[in-house]
This record gives sequence, C-alpha cells and structure tokens, in this order.
Amino acid sequence: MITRMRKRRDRSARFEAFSDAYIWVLLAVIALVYLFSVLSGVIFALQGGGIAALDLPSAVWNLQDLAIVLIPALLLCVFRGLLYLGPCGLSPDKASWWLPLPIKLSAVRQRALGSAIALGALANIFVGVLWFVCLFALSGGFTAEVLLLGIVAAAASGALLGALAALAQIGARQRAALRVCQTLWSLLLLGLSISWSLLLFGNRWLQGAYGRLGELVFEPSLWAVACSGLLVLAAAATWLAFSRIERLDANSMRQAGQVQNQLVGSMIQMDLGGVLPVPNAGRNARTRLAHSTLRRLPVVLQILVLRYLRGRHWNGPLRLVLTALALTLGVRGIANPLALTGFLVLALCLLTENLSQMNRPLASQPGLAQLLGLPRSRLVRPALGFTLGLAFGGLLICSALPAALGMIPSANLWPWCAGLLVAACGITAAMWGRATRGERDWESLILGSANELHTGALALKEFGHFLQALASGLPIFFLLLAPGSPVPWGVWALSTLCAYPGYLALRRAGEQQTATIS
Amino acid sequence: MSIGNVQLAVEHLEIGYAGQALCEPINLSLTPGAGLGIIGANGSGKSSLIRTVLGLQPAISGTVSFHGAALDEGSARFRKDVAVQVSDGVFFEELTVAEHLEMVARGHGVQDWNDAVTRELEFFELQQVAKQQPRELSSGQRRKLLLAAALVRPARLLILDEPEQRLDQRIRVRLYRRLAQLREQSVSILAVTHDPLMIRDCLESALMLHGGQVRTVDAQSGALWLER
Repeated sequence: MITRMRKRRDRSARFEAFSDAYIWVLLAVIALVYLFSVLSGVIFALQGGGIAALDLPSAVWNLQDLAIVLIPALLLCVFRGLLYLGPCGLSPDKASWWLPLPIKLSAVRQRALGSAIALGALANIFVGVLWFVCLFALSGGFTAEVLLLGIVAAAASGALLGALAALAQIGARQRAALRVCQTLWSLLLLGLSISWSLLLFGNRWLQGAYGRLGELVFEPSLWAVACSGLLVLAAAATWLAFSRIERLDANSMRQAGQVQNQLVGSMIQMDLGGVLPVPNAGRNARTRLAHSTLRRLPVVLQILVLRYLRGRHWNGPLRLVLTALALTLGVRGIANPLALTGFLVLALCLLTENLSQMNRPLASQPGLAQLLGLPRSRLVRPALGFTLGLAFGGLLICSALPAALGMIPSANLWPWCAGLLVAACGITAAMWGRATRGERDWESLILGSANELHTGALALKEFGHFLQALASGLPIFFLLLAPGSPVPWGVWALSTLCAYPGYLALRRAGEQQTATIS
Repeated sequence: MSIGNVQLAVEHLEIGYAGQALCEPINLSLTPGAGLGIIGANGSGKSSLIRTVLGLQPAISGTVSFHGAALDEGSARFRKDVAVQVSDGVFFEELTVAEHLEMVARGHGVQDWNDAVTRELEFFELQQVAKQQPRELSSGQRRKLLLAAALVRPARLLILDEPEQRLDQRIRVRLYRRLAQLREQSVSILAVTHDPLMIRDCLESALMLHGGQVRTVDAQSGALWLER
C-alpha cells in the first residue's frame, strides 16, 4: 500500500524530493570546497609557514604519522554519529500516519535501512576526501589511483558502519555499541600514549614501523586489498541487516526520525546547541555540594555558574587546550608562533560560541526574567560581567602554553595582559550579539540569495560576530608573531573599536539597573 | 473604593492586533483582596487582555496603571508586587524543579526560602520530581511548577492565565482554596479561566468578553455562563 502511495505521488512531489536531495549534495560539495581551504590553512599554520619552530625533545611524531592515526579516529566518529541518528529513522509526519496502520511495514523499514547505509557511505566519503586532502597537503605528493581507491574504500567502510549501526538498532544494542566505541577510543588514546613513550625512549622498531606505514599509504595495491576486504564485509553486513530488518521496532524508528529531524533543523539554523544533550542536574553528591557552595552567590550569578558547569560549556575550551598542548609537545614543528596563533584564533571563536550558548536563554527569552520576577536589566549586567571574567580567565589559561614555550618575553607581559582584556571585551560583545540573534532558516536564505555577493553578505552577517571577536584579539596575535616590535597604534585602535560594544553594553546595563531600582 | 486604594486600573483599554480591536474598550480596577475572573469564548481576547495589561503586547489605546503610575513591567515595584503565570513556561534547562523555586524565592528575598520551597513542593505534589529537570516533567507537572513559582514568593497581585489547565481535579480544588485564602490576606487576583468552579470558589466577579462586548458580572452569573 505504501509503495503504491509512493508511486502515485505527482510530479511536483517527486521533483520536490529530488530537489531536497540535490540541495544537500550541493551543500556537501560547497562545504568540501571551503573545508579544503580551511584545512590547507590549518596545515600551513601547523607547519609554521616558514617560521622556525622550537625543537622540543618530547616531539617524536611527524604530522604525516598522525594522519594515519586519524583513520580509526574518524571511523569511530562516523559510527558514533550513525548510532546517534538511529540510523534507521522515519520522519515524525510519516511516523504519525504510517506506523499506526495495520499493514506490513517492510517497504518503510527497508527504505529506512537503505537510507542509513547510503548515509554511512556518503558521510565516510566526505570524511575520506578531507583526510586525503590532509595527507596530500602534508606529503606534497598526489596519486590519483590512491585517491580513487581510497574513496571506494571510504564508501565501503561507510556502508559497513551504516549496516553495523542498523544491526545495533535492530537488536536495541545502541548503548552497548556506544560503550564499545568509547572503549575503542580510550584504547586508541592509550596506544598513542604508549607509542609516544616508546618513541621518546628511541624504540627503533616503532620508528621503522611508522616509516613503513607512511610509505604504504601511497601504495595502490594496499588500497586495492583494503577495498576488496571492505566491500566483502560491507556486503555481508548489508545482507545481514536486510535479513533482520523486520525485527526493527517501530518506536525506535520514530525516535530516530525525531533525532534526525532535530539535527536537520539545527543544521538549517546553523545552531548545533539544539542537538547537544542536556546533562542531568542535581543527581549526584558532587553537583549538590557545588550547589550548596554556590548558594552564597547572588541568584543570577548562581544560575549562570550552574548553567556553565552543568551545561558543560567548559568542556570545549578544555579539550582545545589539551589538544593544543598534546600536539605542540608531541609533534615536530608545531611549537611555532604561527601554530600557536592559530590555536588562539580557535580559542577566541570557541569561547565566543560557547559563552553565547550559555547566555542564549537569558538573552533571548524574556519569559525567564518573568519567571524569576526580575527585570531584564538585573539579568544582563551579571551575565555580561560573568562572561567577561570567564573570557579573560579562558584566554589567560590559553596564554600559559606560549608563555611556557618562552614566546611571550617578559617585556611584553603588560601589553599581553592589556591585549587579553581587550580580547575578552571583544568576546563579550560578540557573544552577546550572537546570543541575541534571531533564528534563521539557512536553507531558504541560501536558496533565496540572488548571487554569490548576496550569499557572502549573509555569511558575513552570520559570522560577523566571530570576526569581531578575532579583530579584538589582533594585539595578542601581533605580540606572538612579532615579539620584538611594539604593537602599532592602528592595531590597538581596531581591536579596541571591536571590543568597545562589550564595555558599552556592560555600562548601559548598569545604568538601566540603577534607574530601575531607584 | 478610594482611588488611592486601587492597585491596578485599566481605563478605556482597546486590545487587538494591527489596529484591529478584538472587543470594545475595557475598564477595570482591582483593590487589595479583589478577585476578578476574565471569561469568554476562545479567541475573544482574554489572554490578549492579560498580555496587554502586562505590557507584553502593545495596546491600541487606553491606559494601564499600577498604584497610580503607568505600568512598567521593568519597574522594581511591579516585579516585587505582581506574580505572573501567563505562558506555558520557559525554564532553565540545567536547573532542577527545586532549584527553580529556590531561585525565585531567593530572588524575591524570602528569608526562610528552604521552608517555602518545601511547602510548595508538597502543596503541588512535586516532591518526587524535585530533583528532575523541567524537560523530564509531564505537561501537568510543568504547569504545577509555574504555579508554584508564582506562589513561592510574596506578592500583592496574582495574574494567572488559565491556571486550571492540565491540573487534576484534586489539585484544582486545593489551588482554589489557597487562592481564596490569599484573597483574605489582601492579595488580589486577576485570572483568565474556563472553570466555573474557580469563579465560584475564589473570585468575586467576572469580566465577560463575548461577541466583541465586555460586561462585568458577579461570580455566580459568570459561573453559570461558563456552565451553559
């Protein structure tokens, strides 16, 4: 019956479905092109761009060695993503109409499984192409044969992962599969740590193995063998998944459809905050203890601190700092000023996004002020002040790495601190602008834009806040890249100009609060 | 009733959208301890009236004053004196039910906030979910949380939009009894409702919005009109 209904769809409905798929493929291609440029920039920065790097005794790897380690890490990420998405889902509107019907749902289930496998293959091709971009950029060589076989291998491994994730969903074993993923991830990190330690003590066998692996990556015959093996495995897993698909629970498909819908909505609005899990609060002794300590703070600050801690907004910057630390200490050539500037650029963007996520409910939902019975101005000032403090603290922690490597001479200490303060103000201003921005439907905006200039203007409007935050950090970038020369006044002027709205917002909120209370 | 005794005064207030009035101009006043229900069919403008009174929606014409001064939702006095429950609820995702109530009570300077929170949790039977986050609650429990937040703090005027929605009958009866007690303590109430029991048990009169006309009736007539 469902198949008949599908066949009966008129031409416009079919065209709509086709154009939807076309748009997503087009967006993926555009994203690939942009990511190609970004990755090239990142690799250029990591290699120092001609600037001499510090020779650290702990740096035992080359970037190319790490590219190989990235393969299992990326596969794990794709598998986790597929498990998060279901992967066999039915959109909520179809689920409401089709699932209650007393008919056999084979067509629906098989179609969902087919989509899941195709999604796995496409996602892996996307990731695979990016990986090859990194590899070729790092090695400076290019082999078309390897690229082609690599893409086939990526598609086959993606289909395999899609089928495995579907099998986990059919058996309601998603949690167990996630635990396996977590264990594999820990094992990968453990393996890296052990190999780092062995290389540090000059283990020749391991040094030779890394060298051989680096050569094997460019060997087409190896990729051909990998392709064959993966295709066989993918075919077997796909057959197994299709043979068991009738056992797939309808509710599981409905839930997966909701998650997929939510993800698409978040992608259309370019706001991934909606799909991030909200951690449970107040359940364990540690959070209860933290709460009892926080009770001494004013109510608004207490809410902000609880949101920051429980929303795990500290997690992203902490991971960035740890990654930067590990890369700088473990990989040759990364302890250079350009790479550390890149790290600070990332830190500024991440802090802006993170802090805007933390403040978004307070900034954009007047109902919360109503619930607390507080005027909005009494929420805004503590929020801005708290954010300024967090941004300054975050940047101070990020400064520890270049300072420890001796890249901030003592003569530059005060200008550096002043630069951090200006950057923190800039982050506060940019964060508030981003937190109060309205929701956007990016799909219709991009489709409705007349030309590239218009699309560029839209992108500038969306990402202008990040540019503001980055511009406010110009003095610290300058101090890092040219430690011997004083920061030109023009740079200070530009960064202060970008940071000024943050200071102004803080002052205005204070004035409003005073006026309201008096 | 002297003018100085009036808490909330609404004069010739025209409510509506894009200059299109939903009903004839509205006049009403609330003195301490007064209880006024707003009744009418769906779409007659009850919730719009509440939203306009609170300044959440612009009025076409007319004035709303609170203690003789133009109503300002941001003013400290309005916030201190008026407890509001008008929306279906926005919550802090990371805070638990008990923490929401604690923040409201402490924000309003309730000294024994711990007792106040416990009292409201017991009254609305939310003890079992006190450590849960609002997203984990049922729609009825979320409504209870909003009502508890309005009652956990001191107030001189309560503005409620269909408080009976999604509550079970037992809690409704208990809530109406509580509202009647609050009126005896000089707290005034302005409430949109579809429940004749609420009109009878805890309000003294009703403003009826019907067919674009506005009429003030006593509680009994209002309840009978709702039962019709």
